Amino acid sequence: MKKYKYLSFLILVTLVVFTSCTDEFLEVEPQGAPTAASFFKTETDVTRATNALYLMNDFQGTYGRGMFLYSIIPSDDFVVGKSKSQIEQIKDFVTTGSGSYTRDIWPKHFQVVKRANDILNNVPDIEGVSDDVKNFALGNAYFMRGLAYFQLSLLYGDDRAGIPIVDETTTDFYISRPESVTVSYEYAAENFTKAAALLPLFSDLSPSDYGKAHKNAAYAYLAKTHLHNAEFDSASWQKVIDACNAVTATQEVLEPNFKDVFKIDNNWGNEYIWSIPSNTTGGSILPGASLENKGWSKYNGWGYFAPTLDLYESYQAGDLRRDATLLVFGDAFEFFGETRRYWSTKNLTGIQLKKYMEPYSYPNGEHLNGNGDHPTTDLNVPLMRLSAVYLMRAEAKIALGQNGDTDLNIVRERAGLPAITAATLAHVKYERRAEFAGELFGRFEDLCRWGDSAELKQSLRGRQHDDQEDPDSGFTIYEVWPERSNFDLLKHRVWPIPPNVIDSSLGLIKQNER
Amino acid sequence: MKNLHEIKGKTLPFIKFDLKMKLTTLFVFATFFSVLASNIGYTQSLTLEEENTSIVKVIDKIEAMSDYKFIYNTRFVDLNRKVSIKLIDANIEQVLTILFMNTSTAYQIERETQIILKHKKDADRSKSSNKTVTVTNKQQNKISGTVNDDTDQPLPGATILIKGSSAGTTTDFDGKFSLEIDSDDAILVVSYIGFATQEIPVNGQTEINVQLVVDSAALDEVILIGYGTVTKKELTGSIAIAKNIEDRAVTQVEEALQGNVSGVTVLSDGGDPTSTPTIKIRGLGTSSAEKPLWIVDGVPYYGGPINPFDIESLTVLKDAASASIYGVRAAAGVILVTTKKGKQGKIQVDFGAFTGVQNVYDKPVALNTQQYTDMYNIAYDNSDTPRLDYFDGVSNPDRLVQRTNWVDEIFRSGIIQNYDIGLRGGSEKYTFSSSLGYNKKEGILINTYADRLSFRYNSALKLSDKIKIGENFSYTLINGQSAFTGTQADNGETNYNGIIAAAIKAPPHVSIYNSEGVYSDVGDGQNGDVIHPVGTLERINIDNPKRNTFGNLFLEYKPIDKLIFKTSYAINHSDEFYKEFDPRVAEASKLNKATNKLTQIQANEINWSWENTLNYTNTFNDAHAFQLLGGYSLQHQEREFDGIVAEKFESEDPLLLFIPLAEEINDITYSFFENKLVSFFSRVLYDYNKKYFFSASIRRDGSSKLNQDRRWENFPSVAVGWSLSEETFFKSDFISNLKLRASWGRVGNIESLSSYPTNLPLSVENTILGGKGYQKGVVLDGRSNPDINWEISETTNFGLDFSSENNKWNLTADYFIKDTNRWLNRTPVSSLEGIGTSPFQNSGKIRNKGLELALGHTKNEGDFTYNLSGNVSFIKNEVIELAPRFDIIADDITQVATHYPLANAVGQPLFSYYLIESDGLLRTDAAVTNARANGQPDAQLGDLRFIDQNNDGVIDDDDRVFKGSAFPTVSYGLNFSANYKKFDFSIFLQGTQGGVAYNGYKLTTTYPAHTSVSGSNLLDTALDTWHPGNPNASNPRLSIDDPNGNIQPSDFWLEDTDYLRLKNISVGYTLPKSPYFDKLRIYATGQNVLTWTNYSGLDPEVSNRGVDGGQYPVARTFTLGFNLTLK
Repeated sequence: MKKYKYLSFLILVTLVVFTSCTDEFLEVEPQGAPTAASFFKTETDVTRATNALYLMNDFQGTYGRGMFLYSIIPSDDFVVGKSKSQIEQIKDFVTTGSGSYTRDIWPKHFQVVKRANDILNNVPDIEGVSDDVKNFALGNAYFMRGLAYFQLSLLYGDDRAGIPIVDETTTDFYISRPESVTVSYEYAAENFTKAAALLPLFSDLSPSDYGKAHKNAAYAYLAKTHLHNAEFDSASWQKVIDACNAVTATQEVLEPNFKDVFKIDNNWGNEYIWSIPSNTTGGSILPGASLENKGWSKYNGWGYFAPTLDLYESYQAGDLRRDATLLVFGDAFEFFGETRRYWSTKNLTGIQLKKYMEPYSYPNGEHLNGNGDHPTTDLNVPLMRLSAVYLMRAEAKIALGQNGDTDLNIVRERAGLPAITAATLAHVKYERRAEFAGELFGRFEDLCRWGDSAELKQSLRGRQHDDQEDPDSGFTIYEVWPERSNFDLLKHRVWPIPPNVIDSSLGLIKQNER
Repeated sequence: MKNLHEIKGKTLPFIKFDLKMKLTTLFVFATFFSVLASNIGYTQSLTLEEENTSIVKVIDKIEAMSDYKFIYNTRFVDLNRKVSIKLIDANIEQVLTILFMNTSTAYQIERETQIILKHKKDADRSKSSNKTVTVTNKQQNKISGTVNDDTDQPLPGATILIKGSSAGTTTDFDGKFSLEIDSDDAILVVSYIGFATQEIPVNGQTEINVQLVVDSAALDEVILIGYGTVTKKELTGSIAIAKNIEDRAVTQVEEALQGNVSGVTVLSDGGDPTSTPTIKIRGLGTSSAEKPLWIVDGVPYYGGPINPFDIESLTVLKDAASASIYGVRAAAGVILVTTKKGKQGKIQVDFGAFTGVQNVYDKPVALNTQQYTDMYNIAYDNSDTPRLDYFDGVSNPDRLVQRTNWVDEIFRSGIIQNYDIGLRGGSEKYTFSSSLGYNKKEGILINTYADRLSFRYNSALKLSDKIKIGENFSYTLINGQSAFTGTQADNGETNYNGIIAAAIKAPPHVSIYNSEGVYSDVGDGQNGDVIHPVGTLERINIDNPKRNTFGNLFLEYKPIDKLIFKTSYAINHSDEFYKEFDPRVAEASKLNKATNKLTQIQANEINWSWENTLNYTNTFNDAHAFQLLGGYSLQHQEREFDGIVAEKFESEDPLLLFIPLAEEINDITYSFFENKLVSFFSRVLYDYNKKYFFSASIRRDGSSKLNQDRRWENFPSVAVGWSLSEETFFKSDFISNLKLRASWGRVGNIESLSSYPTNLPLSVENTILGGKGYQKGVVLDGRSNPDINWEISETTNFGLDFSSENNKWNLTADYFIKDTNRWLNRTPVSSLEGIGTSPFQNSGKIRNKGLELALGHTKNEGDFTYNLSGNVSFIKNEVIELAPRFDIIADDITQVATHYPLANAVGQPLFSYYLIESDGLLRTDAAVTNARANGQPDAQLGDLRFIDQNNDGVIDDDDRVFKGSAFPTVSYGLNFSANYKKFDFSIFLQGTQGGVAYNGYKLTTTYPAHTSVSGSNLLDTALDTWHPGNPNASNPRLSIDDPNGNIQPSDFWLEDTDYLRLKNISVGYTLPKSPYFDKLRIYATGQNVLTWTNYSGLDPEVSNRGVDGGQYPVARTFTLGFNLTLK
């Protein structure tokens, strides 16, 4: 009996002791992950915060479908390769912005802005970390914030309204859109300028930092920002030239052969300025999304992007870029270690985008992501190449009444084309179309800023082969996409802001009227 | 001791004072609750079986087994007189009456436990002689008989009284009795605790056999409340008890609650064998996590699924006044479970087994090859587009060969097996109960299953008259494999992955295997995006064992009379292991694999709680009954989770699929959380003369999730009751009980919140940069909210209980208003803030109003007895306030394909449909012209007409209107059970009304491409689409481009989900007792036998907030089984 009494007594005592320290009992520290208080202390923290800026690299809603659908599909170079209403609505300029393939573009970009601001707010005050490390992080933050504003401006901003400006001092996030996209382009430019000052050249980066921002990427995007802003502010043309000069001061030799630009070996080659780093784990799914639907039973291609016959026929005779960019029936190519001749039962135009197919040439798919639902490859998808710098400078010079021949001919020469003299904007237009077919922010945005609505409205053609499994089959030319007479340059050059962004803005973010 | 009795000739009366107190109890609950209960009326029951034993020995025995003390003078009591007595569960008066029948000894009970034995003459002089029951010696007619229960089990200890007199007897061990009566007109009143009392006129009979029927509404029924028990009579809150669990061959506890209890809505998550139905008590109270709190044998339970075989009772605490003693975790109601306990006596061995088969109830029908090509040709014609050669049966005759019915291929008959064994028993000091159960269910889709192994052990040990300790232990192991049946995948790809939809869409002219013997290419040619339905199912290779180990140790200490201290420690450890292998499969249609992958996830969760309570019960002046409770508890929860993805295994031999053998390790994740809760609580229950009832409780909870200044919150409650039927002015022969109840209380909810909402951990993300694999990024991808606070739910309840005489008719009615204040809601933040998920904020208010009725009727007529019970609940749910600055918040989580049809808005039910309104099909040219002029420029015959609500000439999101929600406004159940001789029969119907589903299943299988059609096969609904040859069709035309937007989210896809289901029908037969067993019942049961509904989808019970993606349908099951109790 006694021992039970002692036991009960013991329990009562424990109870009293426990009761008196409940507040201590209730204090719980988060474990398993750092918290705001424990972060931004070391160099590793700085590196990891910088890495987090690049969340969109592996996000197909931006760099897979996402922006590629908005940029490539609406042009006269491509049609929707297979029936997908979301994409067809984009092609026909009737999208509402709520489609799952594109609705995350806006919020993801602002996540990048938030992360950049976190770095800008925290990194300068860290003790015990070298200035080089800090400057690199700050440069990356400015660059990525600039890139976010540039891309959002291009997709959603025009002279009716720009993109709300958020910087590291912003605390109230209910902000109206500025009166013109020029405001947000200028903000992007300001960020690129700061980034360029802080960042090292790519050649000075250690391989472990490959994929992160560097000086010439900042200058090249500064040029591109001004190129687009020049439509609204002609003072920008000179700034394009200045920025391009800054790039070519340290990087001037193009990759000698155009087709080699799109090879895994040249991911970080002469031509590289900026790309979406990719590997067999993640990165851009564009190569898989543009590959033949079901990949001739070898790999899960999605077949979204079908080049038009109009694009194919636009190449001048002898332009090496045509065959490096496109495959038509009968063309030989390497596929899973074998040479095959192109045919397709599924492609609506009878033409395949070849630019990103090098990763599929190797046996056993060794450079491919094993997950066919996330078809990335070891090929980095280029977003900014050195040839763009030459073509931007050529265009700016011509716009300012100067001579752009030298820059233009550097690009033409590599394409196997003869040099021209007294180049005009028309020559620039040809070069840009031939050079950047199937690349992000090329043809569609160019046609819009040049005001070439006719090209965007016209009906588009493809080839209908008699026997779709025979590479030598004859074909008839047919209208693969009807005329888009509804296209209104003033409204349709920009895309609808995702409705949930509008809904959560308390009425401050106004939709692009369509 | 013995020799003390033998001392004779002492002049002073020998007062026996040995206080060898022992406690036994009649109640089946061997837990704390039983102790409480037995203190309420202090009725200890005794079981005696003595043959030719001396009175002194009998007295010794009684003292040994009970708290009774005998006080007597040896002169007046013949201690050596030999008696034979056989009594089961008799009360002390019955025992004493029989012991001292026809002797000169009289007895008197003082202070409940003191029995004073006196000489009759003394007793006659004493003023408390009215307690004495005397049985006269007059020569009388003798009648005898047996008393059995409704399963023909004898009822020992049943009381038989002669109406209008105090004479009577009790039945013996075999349920037999004999009694002498002085008049042939006498009426016998036969009663037994828990059974309906019967009155039987003797009418000159000499043998009377009585069958008593369980009284489902007995007023002395003991009802569990939080930390205690009351009798039904004393109840003031709104509490419901689930009955008939054992008879229904259910495999999950939740199923037993469906339709069985008013105010409780059980939504089955389709027929997926691995899923668990969702329980909603009194409507949707909040927008996120909301689960009832389970209390098993008195402790908060976070363990594995409970085997229905182990359950003794299920009690649902519905109103806040009943639940608030559980404070923070009780906002969604509390479910109290008691498991079966051992009883004193011989060891009882029970077996239960059933096996059955389940089938799909209503299999979808896809088009055959001819219909498939016909409908595609129509679609192309409708779109003014040249027909494709592919769909030309003449040039492509292979298209018309019917090779595979894919729907038939993915469904099968699934076998259900269930085996249970229970072992229960005990002695005076020790009782135990143990059981082992195994259940295996094969799903109706191939390669899906679930199995469960469960073990339970509990015991109680009386260390002394003051101390009792006990334990509960359970272990469950579950495993299973399911298939994805929705329409939404992780990557946002939406229209081709649900397996049932895939089987409808797969081309019927393609065989399952190609000529090389591998899964054929179903996606070839123009068949659209289709996965191989059979291959996808057969490839599922998941091993996902979840183990739960639960243990609870408690100690009860009774330092003084009427006061009980209890301390209880419970711990649950659940560990889950998930291993999925994704092979490189030789399958022509699944060519996207260049490698294989092993995903391995491990999760560990530990929950412990320590509770200490003091309970004091007393009654003053025979009228004022008090029950006081005070308690304190600590709870702790921690969960650890790690995952790893390994790729590139050279060999796919299952024996070689281990992480070290992978070439690449890609994704390592880890997370940990911990939270704690401290609670103080107390309650007073009071009644005056069982007429006026009052109870009040308060609980103070402190949670580690909240900041210090908001951490503590008080949850009060108060309840009153008035038993009108006890009032003298209210006497009625018809009414045995009429009580009015009212209660109010508050409970809290912070289950929605993560462990650290005020100090969010940073997220570790995988990013791709230069180089192989991932690199780590770290970011604060949310916003900590230091102001976050408790969500408070407040319920006011008015109730009425009514019983007619003998409980023939019973009615319980409750009306409640339940308000959720400071609703924890993820209100949208500005996209410009750049955080991944909106933080929780306390904003808004939700109101549920409802009426619940439960009616029961019992009737006995000779061999035939029946019981009819029904319940119905009406619930109205409404968002009263949303968030500052928001009138409508679209739900951007719940979707089907690319449709997000739900939104929350003030004045509407939670998760309402918010859609464009449609107005039928355009069937005339005039209608088309009109539509073209009013916002539908591309309209054609056979398109849908939409309503331009704002008359702006455009059909767009601004034209959306609210169109109800999925949650039913009425749910009901009807149960009829009957016994005739040894047969029993029961039928159970259940249904709901007022719910609406968004039939995305029909949408995505009839118009799979969202531009209408794009090559894949279609559901047979496609035959009922408009085309010039079918102008009266109900559905819009098929096309290949859908220029009119027929497929956009509109109310055309909404359908009522009202249904009435024959949920269960059983027939059983109980075999006569044999030398080998006490009881053997064999039965046949059908579940989900028939469903009456107008809903055209697979099943009217749609989960996913009513957005139907063609989920796993509920199966129809037929089982055969038996329950056996060994001799």
